[in-house]
Amino acid sequence: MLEIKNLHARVEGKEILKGLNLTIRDGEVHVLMGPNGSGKSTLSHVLVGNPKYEVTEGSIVFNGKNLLSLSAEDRSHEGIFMSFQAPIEIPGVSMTNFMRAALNAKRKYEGKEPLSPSEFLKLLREKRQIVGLDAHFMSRGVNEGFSGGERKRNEIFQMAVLEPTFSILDETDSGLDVDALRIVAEGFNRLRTPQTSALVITHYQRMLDYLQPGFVHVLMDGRIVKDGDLALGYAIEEKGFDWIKEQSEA
Amino acid sequence: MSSLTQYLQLYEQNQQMLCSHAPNVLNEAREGACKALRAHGLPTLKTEEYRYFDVQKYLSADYGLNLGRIVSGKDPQKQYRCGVSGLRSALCYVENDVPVMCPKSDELPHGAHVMSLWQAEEQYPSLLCQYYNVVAAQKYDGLAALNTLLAQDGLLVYIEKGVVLENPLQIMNIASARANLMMNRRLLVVMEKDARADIMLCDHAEGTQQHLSTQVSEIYLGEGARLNLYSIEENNAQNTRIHKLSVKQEARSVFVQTDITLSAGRSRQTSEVTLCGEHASAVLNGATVTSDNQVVDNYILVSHDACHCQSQMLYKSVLDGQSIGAFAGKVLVNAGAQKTVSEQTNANLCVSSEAHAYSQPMLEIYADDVKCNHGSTIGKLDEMALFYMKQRGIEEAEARLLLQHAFVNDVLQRIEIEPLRQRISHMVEQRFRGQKDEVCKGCNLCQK
Ligand SMILES: Nc1ncnc2c1ncn2[C@@H]1O[C@H](COP(=O)(O)OP(=O)(O)O)[C@@H](O)[C@H]1O
Ligand SMILES: [Mg+2]
Repeated sequence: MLEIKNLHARVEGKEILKGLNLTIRDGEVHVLMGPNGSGKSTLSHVLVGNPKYEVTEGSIVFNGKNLLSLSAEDRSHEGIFMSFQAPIEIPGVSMTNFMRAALNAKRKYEGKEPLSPSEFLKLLREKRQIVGLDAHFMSRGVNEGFSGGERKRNEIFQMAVLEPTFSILDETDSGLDVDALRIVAEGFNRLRTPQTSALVITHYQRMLDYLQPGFVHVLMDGRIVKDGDLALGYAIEEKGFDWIKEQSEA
Repeated sequence: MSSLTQYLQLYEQNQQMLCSHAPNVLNEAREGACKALRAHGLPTLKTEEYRYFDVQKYLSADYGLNLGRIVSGKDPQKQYRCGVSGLRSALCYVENDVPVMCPKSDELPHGAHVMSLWQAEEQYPSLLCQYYNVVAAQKYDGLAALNTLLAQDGLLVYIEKGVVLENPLQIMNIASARANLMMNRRLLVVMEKDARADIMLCDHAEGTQQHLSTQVSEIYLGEGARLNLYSIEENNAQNTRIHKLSVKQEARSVFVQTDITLSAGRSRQTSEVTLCGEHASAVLNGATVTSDNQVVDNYILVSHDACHCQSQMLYKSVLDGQSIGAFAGKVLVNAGAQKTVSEQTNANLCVSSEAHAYSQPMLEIYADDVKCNHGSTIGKLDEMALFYMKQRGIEEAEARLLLQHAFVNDVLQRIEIEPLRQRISHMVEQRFRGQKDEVCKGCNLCQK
């Protein structure tokens, strides 16, 4: 599904990713861990084509296509979704209008007609239930006045509506209380299929418990310095990153 | 030759023709306007209130006047289907500057009258004398004086005590002349105690000719009267529009203006509201969309002369292309106007790097027990919001559209008439999409 080779990327003139390699196949969930500032969010933004992040070297192939040549919109239409670490507030644009525009753009890309108003509302209702988001959120501005937890649930709700094949969850779990974390993680699990994959950035053992990812990677200073499975995740949760740093420097 | 000399000569050379085709009340006001113009002239870019509106330049073109009051003779209702779907309104048409159609008496409740100033002079001569060119001439304004010098007709809306207009009155100003033309329009609204009305004032220009329209509107609201005035401008690039609105409010009266500028060439709106009676309230809302080389200049003065009055202003502009949007809003709280509550907000969104917004909120307070706020912002489209939308698959153009529409939406939401709110919201959306309804050659108000 996704193959990243020797990726170098800069933000504001400063090199953050320094030769990153990562391969994710259909149906796999990969967890990315790493100290603050190691470049996890940078990688996410590069994958979804944020123009602030400049790729200087390397390649990304997504389902056989050169991802770096696609616009942010087309990457989305091709099935890539990112749950933002800090979801953006868009005052005055209602959730309903926002989702309608997003869904219709995707359907147009796929050569499908827009959904009828009643089909659309029915879809929103179904998907809201996955993350327990009340109807009144739909008439509010996007993330306008949403609490931290509501914003994260809203990200998963949008994911549910757009049905991406590859999702990036950038610390969707941080700042959530135990119940909200469960709702978000279970919501995400319900959306998993053998064809969909994900890259999940997290610091929490609870998230590992819920997701049971097959792969765990450690990012330090712009490179992946260690690969492993769930056991690696738990080891980091217990011991932190220093031991890996020492290992990789040795 | 300066623009002023040109207009004064035009007046002198055609005085007889001009006056013979106009009611006496209008003719009697000309000499005063002429003297004032000679003494004070037209505004220049150095005139404080006109710093962003180059009157000299915009008025320098050679415009003709329709001194002989020639009309096309076509039925305006067939040519321009200006109604708003879902809304019953009484229609009134002004072709260039000639009122050609007024609502029939059975379209209006008993005690509500809409007619040309010609007719008004026959039916309500003393009313006309009492109110024509009074509040508009209170303080010198060169452009209002120019209008007074040259105006030949206009409309009177007279609503008697306690009469409520159930359906809105819709006045269509249509500039359709097939020659470069200067139009001088007048509107006089007199609402007696507790009268109520909604008036839509639509300005629409068509064709490829240069049109200059000056309009002076005078509004008198008696005690407890309530007027909602919706102005909707959809003019073309060749059009210059100058509108001076003067409102005088007695106790407990309510004036609500919603000023929507969808497209313009060069447009200047001056609104002067005087709150003379206690507990009067003035609400002025505006949404302006500009692009290309358009210039839209809003100047507002709300004068609090009595206690316990309220005023509220919310003006928002979205500027694209190389357009210019200027806003100056002044709240003047005179001595003795205690317990004044006033709030003023102006927000501008420049969506291109070459658009310019100028914002100048002003407060002048001579009373000590008042609550006055004002705020103004000039910003750009939020890049992160744009990116967030693109990540969700929304194309750049659509994302920009959503953000721009959202920006002016709170102004649109204040439109109290539901079908009109929906219609204008749709028109604003179409405007951002760069689409126009071809049915009425550029005006989008009516439903296809
Ligand atoms: N938009 C940005 N502008 C400036 N610097 C940024 C931006 N995004 C990330 N950085 C910098 O890049 C480095 C990596 O940040 P980030 O990718 O957010 O790390 P992580 O998500 O692993 O905590 C940090 O030094 C951060 O300050
Ligand atoms: Mg991060």
